[in-house]
Amino acid sequence: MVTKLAALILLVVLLAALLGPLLAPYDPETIDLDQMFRPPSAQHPLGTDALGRDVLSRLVHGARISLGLGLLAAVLSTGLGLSLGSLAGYVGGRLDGLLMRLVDLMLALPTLFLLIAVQSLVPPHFLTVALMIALTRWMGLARLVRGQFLSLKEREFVQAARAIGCPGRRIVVRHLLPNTSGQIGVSFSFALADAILIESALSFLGLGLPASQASWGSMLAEARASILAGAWWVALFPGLMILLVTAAVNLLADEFQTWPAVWNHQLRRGRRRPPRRGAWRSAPLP
Amino acid sequence: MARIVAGRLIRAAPLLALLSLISFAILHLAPGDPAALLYGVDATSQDLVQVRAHWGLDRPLPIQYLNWLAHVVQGDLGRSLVDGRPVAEIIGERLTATLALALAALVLAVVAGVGLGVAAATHAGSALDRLLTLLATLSYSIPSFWLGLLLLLLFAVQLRWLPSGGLTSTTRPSSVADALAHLILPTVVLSLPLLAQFLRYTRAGFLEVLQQEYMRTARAKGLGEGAVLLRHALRNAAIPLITLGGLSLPQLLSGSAVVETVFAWPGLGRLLVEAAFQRNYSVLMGDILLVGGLVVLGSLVADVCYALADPRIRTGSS
Repeated sequence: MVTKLAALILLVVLLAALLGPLLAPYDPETIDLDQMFRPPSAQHPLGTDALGRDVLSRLVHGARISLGLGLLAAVLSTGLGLSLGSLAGYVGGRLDGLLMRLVDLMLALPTLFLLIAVQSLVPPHFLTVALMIALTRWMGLARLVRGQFLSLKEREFVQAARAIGCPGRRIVVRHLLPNTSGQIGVSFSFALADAILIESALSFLGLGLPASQASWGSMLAEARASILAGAWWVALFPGLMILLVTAAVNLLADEFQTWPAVWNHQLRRGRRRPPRRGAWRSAPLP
Repeated sequence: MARIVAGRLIRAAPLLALLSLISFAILHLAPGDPAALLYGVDATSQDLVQVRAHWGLDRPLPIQYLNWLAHVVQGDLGRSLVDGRPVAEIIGERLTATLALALAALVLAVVAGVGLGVAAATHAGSALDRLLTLLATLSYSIPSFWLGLLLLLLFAVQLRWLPSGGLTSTTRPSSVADALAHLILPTVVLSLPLLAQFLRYTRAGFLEVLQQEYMRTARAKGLGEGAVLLRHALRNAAIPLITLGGLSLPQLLSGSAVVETVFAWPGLGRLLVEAAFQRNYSVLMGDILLVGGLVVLGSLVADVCYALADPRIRTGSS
């Protein structure tokens, strides 16, 4: 029930983000000072903000920024985690030790502090924000992939592949990675939810995306003053969108973890029990 | 025990080194002259020459780093770029507020998280269990600053039950009750994601422990259910929780940047955000160094607790 609802929410938001300009009733940037702080009505379904801009239109356009950045950051961090984890797990030895020390170090850093510091050094840009988030969020997957590789490496099918002269790169790509795809999918979803949250926190602090790219987080930053003026709708809806999307992604990832299809072939071999829910959740965000 | 502490300190060295390198990099990557960064506002060119000599900024980079490090270990972090006050002094003022908030949030997360986790595990599969698990997922999907704003709107603006922010009231004489009232909302918001994590870990750990044979033995020899859960189950399920507690400090301190900003809490997190806004790099640098130091200290404490809870680690056998 909850899972289906989560999937539905995600689908609707994705569609809204894709169709954005077609759906939005108004231009998100048009300032209309006659229409300041209008509560939700037939004309403006979610009301207007301090500059008379339509909140619904801004939400729809913000979806593209928030989801786009979240996806980009999740792709980057998954790529980074996969490559470093594979490297550590497959090559092993001193490189493995070094990379795992790096993982321990990164996990011990208060990453939001570092992000804030870096954002004060570089001019705000979509790509740098995504890259910086990815750089602080790859460690969990790297550790996971490494662990999987270490155990898969000893299995017969990998040794058989090596015996017939498969090059290392092919073993990693064709034999090891497909066997970790379930975990990679779950980890990607968690990374997406986290990236959306981190971006919204940074934008809320005024240290995220440039003002021209208004994400849900930047809308909330602007809403801080409005909330004290009693315009609750300006703050409620962007936050609700962030909550709905991250919760939906997290719930789906939780569900995916317990899906039999993902674990079946491993179960049949009696190698492994399906993991507990939440077993790979790394530290969630503020 | 001394061996554990010593070993942990040695392992912490790379982390401290990395943190110092990051801070040093900020000093050099920041736009402008590092000497001006360390001297603060209104430096004349003569001052700058002096500062450069004092901090060794006219030497090669590795030497500069060592020089800078020597100053830092002695607590000399340079001066604020905004008002010229020593950075160490500014940070010192903010330290207590952050520690109080982080500690309160940790205590709340542990007490409520473990309690609810035990309740969920002992009623596994029930409606209560499903509700708690769902709430846990929701609470680390919620943007903390948004939750903070909504709670402010409800409890401070509408109901007027709680103050809207700050450490104490400025109008009324300060009292313990007043300080506690200010602490409630930020503590709840900061601890929520951690609380959810404690809940999940406790639930998972308990479910595993409850199936063990020594649980049946404990019940068979006639122990009451309370004693079985507390003395036999909790102690065994607590070991991953201690790890979680040790890892939670970076998370709490990260979270403090957002929560302290929402509630105007004068701590290190808000200081960092202010410094980032004002491009006050010397304060930024000192703040990151100190927070890193706190994290190292936290994981040291966690390791000692770990050893206390698990005799196998204490005696060195596996």
